[in-house]
Amino acid sequence: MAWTAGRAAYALGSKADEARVVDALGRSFPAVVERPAAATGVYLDTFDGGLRKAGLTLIESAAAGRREWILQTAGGETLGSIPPVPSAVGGSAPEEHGLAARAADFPPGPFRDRVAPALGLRRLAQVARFRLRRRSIRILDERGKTVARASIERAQAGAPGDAAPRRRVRPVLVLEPLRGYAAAARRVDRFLRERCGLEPAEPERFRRILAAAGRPVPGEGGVAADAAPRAPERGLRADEALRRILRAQLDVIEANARGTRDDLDSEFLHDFRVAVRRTRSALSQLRGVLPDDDVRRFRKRFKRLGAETGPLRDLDVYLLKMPGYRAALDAGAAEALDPLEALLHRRRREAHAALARVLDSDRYRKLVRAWRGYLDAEPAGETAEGARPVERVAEERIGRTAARMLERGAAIGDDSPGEELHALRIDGKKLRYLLEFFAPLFDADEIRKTVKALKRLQDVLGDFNDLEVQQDSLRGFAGELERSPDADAATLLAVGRLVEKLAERQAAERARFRERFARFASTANRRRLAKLFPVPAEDPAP
Amino acid sequence: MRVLAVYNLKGGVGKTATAVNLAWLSARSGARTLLWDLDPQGAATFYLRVRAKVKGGVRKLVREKRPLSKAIRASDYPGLDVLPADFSYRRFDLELDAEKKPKKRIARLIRPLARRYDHVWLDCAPSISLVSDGVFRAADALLVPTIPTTLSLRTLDQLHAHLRDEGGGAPRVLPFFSMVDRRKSLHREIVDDREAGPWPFLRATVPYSSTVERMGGHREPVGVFAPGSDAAAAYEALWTEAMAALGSLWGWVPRLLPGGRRYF
Repeated sequence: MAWTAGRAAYALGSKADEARVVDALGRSFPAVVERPAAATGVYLDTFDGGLRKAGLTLIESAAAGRREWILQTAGGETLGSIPPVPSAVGGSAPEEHGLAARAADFPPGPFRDRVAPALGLRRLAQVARFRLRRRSIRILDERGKTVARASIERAQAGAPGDAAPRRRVRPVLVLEPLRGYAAAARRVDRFLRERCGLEPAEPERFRRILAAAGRPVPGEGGVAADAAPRAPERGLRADEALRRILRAQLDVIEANARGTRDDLDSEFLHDFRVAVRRTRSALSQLRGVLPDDDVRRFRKRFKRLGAETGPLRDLDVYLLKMPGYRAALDAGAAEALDPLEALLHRRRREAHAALARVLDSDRYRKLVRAWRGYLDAEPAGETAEGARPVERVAEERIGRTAARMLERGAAIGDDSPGEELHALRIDGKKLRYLLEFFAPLFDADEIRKTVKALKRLQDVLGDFNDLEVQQDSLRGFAGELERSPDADAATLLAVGRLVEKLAERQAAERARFRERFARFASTANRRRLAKLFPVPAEDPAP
Repeated sequence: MRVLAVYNLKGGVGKTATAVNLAWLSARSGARTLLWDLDPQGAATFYLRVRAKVKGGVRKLVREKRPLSKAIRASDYPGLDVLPADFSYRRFDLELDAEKKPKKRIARLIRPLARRYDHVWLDCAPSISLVSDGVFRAADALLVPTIPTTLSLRTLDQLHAHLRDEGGGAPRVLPFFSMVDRRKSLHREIVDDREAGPWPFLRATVPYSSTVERMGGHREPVGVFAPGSDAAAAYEALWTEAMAALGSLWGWVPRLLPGGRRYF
């Protein structure tokens, strides 16, 4: 038995219908009809529906002249409420996004503990607004104890930007079972269906409101629900499969450009960059599938775009790491990092302005338009490689990339230079993308095991590389601080100490490499790779 | 999850009224709240209109043959649930004694509820026993309603001495004056002199009040049937002060949201 049986909703027709049901309930059960209550609410969630995916609903409520934030389960059970959380300053986002707080803006307590994992680094934004009028009927037992609650809900819904919610939501009666009184709820449910002839309706208020407001449920349906099928299937021509993959990446690029431009949160840029990198990786790893004359220009243009997003992402990462940097030092030294953080914020503002200019430029608009046009148009030319079944092409390319990785990794010894680990990391990334692109063509379980082994290796390589880059950057920032008047010796010392700490950690990652690589190169994993992705021996290298 | 117990070695000090009203305020603050009525008399259960009956009795609860969650009932108030009393609770001590680590048993029984509740309030029977020792182990804090008389202060000394002897993670003790009758000079003197005593009392006091007595007729928290009364205000002040006092321990202070009605 579930902790609380879910709520049920029943569709109501006219006002007369409502009166009839209230009357019938009152006649058949001991009941108290409560005063109607009216309130307005705004649903909040992240761009990617983080709360939704965690089974949570957050409402900014305004009732009886007071505002509060209410957290509920998707089933409508209230988990807690707090005064509205103001969002911290920063972010040049326009008002129209209806932006609200990030996890870090919440006061400590159980409310934050519940929402923070679902928000991650994302910022809350308005999803829809609504006005709700609710009349509750408490069903009692013979001792006067409430055993079920039936509420008639009338609502209007609207988009975040609307002055007032105006779209009518079809009225419903919601039956809320109470813990320990399931039998009573079942009696009322039977009564409503059989005696009142009511039909079931969507049980989640959130979905009823969003449907009426004409808004998509965040995190559902993807960025373009009507787009062509995303996943390649076996037997498909390789060039058509690649077009699908590239289209999906372009969808992500377009969906995240606005949030990046308006600086809503750091995840927009992150997702934007990953999609650009995947696009580039697909174009170079699957060279020859599309006519090279067609895509060569695009490859270059995406390379430039990728490079232009780099500086802002780096600064985002350093700012996200600041709390960790401070924690790595002792209290006095941690404070000495303030001038560093201020410098990072200044640089970040500049980097964001530069990227915003790129995203506003004709060059960017033309790139996206031309790329979309190319991917959607009837193919003008084709290659022999592109006409082959996608699974054959995928097997070979993945098999080759994996073989290259195994070879390169085996050659790395304890005194090999860091560049070799870096090169191995890049190979690993390419392999990872290929596996993700083509996962639906292969046995899901085997792919999962392969990706897992790869990921464990990549984690070490990624950290090793990040720590290297961080040390270089921090030394660079220290140089800048040395020339600026805001930083004193304490700051430079603290940065120096931090660089030492990072070097220690990097050495630790390096020590872990051998063991992780050995696992990746284990006989079992090699066999799995060879079986999944056979490379024909006579295949000439491209 | 925070566990708060309302306890006094003496009976008739306004313990159950305190537990019911504070648990109701907890729910109003937005905390998912459970009130466990440990007193076989079942007064808190009665106040909240729930039937004082636990299937299988205390034996099945203590032996973990039936999880606590199966016995829990919703109150009439959103966010406030009740784990009812049962007449078999009179044998609670004997059942605990038959178990290993009897003093840790109550904490162990409550632990699985952490996912479901933010606050668990325990309304304890007036005695020192294995049950109360178990409560002391389980609770983050003890609220001790104390009538301002010399004998009551003495029982508070005894409680502190007992907790010291028990050692270990003793709960924070928050005594407050209850059933205060300002017409009595002894009450006035003791309340006004609270700073002089060895134990710091909360500033909030609950007056001797006919409103509190009428809870039995209404079977509702005072904040429901007499929201403007002195008694309702007193419990609100007590709740707020207790939460602020515990806030330093918890890292955050639960706040009472105005209104108290659920609109969504």
